[in-house]
Amino acid sequence: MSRILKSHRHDDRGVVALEVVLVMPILLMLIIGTVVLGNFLNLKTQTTGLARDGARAASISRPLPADTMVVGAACANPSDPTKFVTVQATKTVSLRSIPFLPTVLPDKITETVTMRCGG
Amino acid sequence: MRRLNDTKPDDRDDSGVATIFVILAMTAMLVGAALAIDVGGYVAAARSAQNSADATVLAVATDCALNGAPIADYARYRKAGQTITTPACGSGESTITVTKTVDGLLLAQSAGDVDRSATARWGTLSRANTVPLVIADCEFRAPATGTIVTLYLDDPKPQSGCSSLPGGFSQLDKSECSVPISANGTVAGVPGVGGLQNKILCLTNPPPAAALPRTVLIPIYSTSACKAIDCKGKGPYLILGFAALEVSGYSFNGNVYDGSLGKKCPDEKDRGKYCIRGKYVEWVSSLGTPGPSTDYGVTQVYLYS
Repeated sequence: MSRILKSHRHDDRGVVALEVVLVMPILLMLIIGTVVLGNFLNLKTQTTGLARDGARAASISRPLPADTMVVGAACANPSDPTKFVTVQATKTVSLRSIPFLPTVLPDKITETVTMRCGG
Repeated sequence: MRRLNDTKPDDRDDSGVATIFVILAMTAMLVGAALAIDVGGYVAAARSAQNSADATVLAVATDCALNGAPIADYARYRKAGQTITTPACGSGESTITVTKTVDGLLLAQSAGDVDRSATARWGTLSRANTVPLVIADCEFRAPATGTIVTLYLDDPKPQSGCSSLPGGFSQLDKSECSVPISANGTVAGVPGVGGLQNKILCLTNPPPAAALPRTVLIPIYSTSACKAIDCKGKGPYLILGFAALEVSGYSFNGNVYDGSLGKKCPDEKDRGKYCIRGKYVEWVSSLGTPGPSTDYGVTQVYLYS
């Protein structure tokens, strides 16, 4: 055995390939992680925008967009400007795990926006 | 220098090249990833701040339109960590700026404050969908907001002496309960009381059924313009603006909603048997189009920017 190793002491063929094999998982985790987190933050911004659109629609008694719902009491029509309405938007996160790491991102993003009725 | 310049094939040693490459690339990628996350967080905070600014300024504008001053607590319209500029009513316009301090999550570099502004305006209502009835401006007589009034829709005598029409009311030429009306525009009318029963149903219980009390918009026409062209029931009526009437009861042909009205209208003999009871309210709308018209207590609030 030691003879075989000795005979390859000055043979560095394959070292680069080995280093790439060792480093590649970490690199991939980093790249995928960036994509996953970027996607999550983008989705969060979209959900916030959707909640705002829903709240605006609910405040003037218009139909709500998809994936939104009124939390609590809805506005009367015609509106009572002393009341307010809260709308919650929910989106499902499809990309939420990084290989070899525990999943930390939630499976759903929920955002709420409150607006004055009729305003 | 000898080693660097020595390019003899036998002495070439490239072990560790990948390590150096990876260290350099990893640094760049880590910084890139951290930047992506931090910028993402900043964008999310900015979006949230804009939402809060929109919601707050609409609430402020509503208060300005109704009360002339921002009176409510606007904390519920913003999220944790957000601060707003002091709400104030300008002339028909109010601006709110929401500020939130965003700390860099990974780069340990504070992004500073996110500022997002929104401006809302308010003014008179110039176009809206209303019930198919019009009322004379002199009949409106701007009673104190909140005073309960009883209106007779088939009044044979102009009560105020101001109108060319009985009771100052007229029905509009529509069978639906929702009629598009423009201020400063004109609208045709239908004389007679034949369809009044349906119009009262529009005021009180239109589909989908809404419980009383219910606020409806009633267009107000110019008495003088009407008299000038002798518009007896048919119009065209020059619409001046809109009033909001909170209808609390009705009585006609034995149908009664408000117990205090009784089965017959209080003054059935002199003033008619179709009556509604309610009070004029100040009302803010986002359903119509803002523009020049006379303010009868109904204003329009809208986001300007």
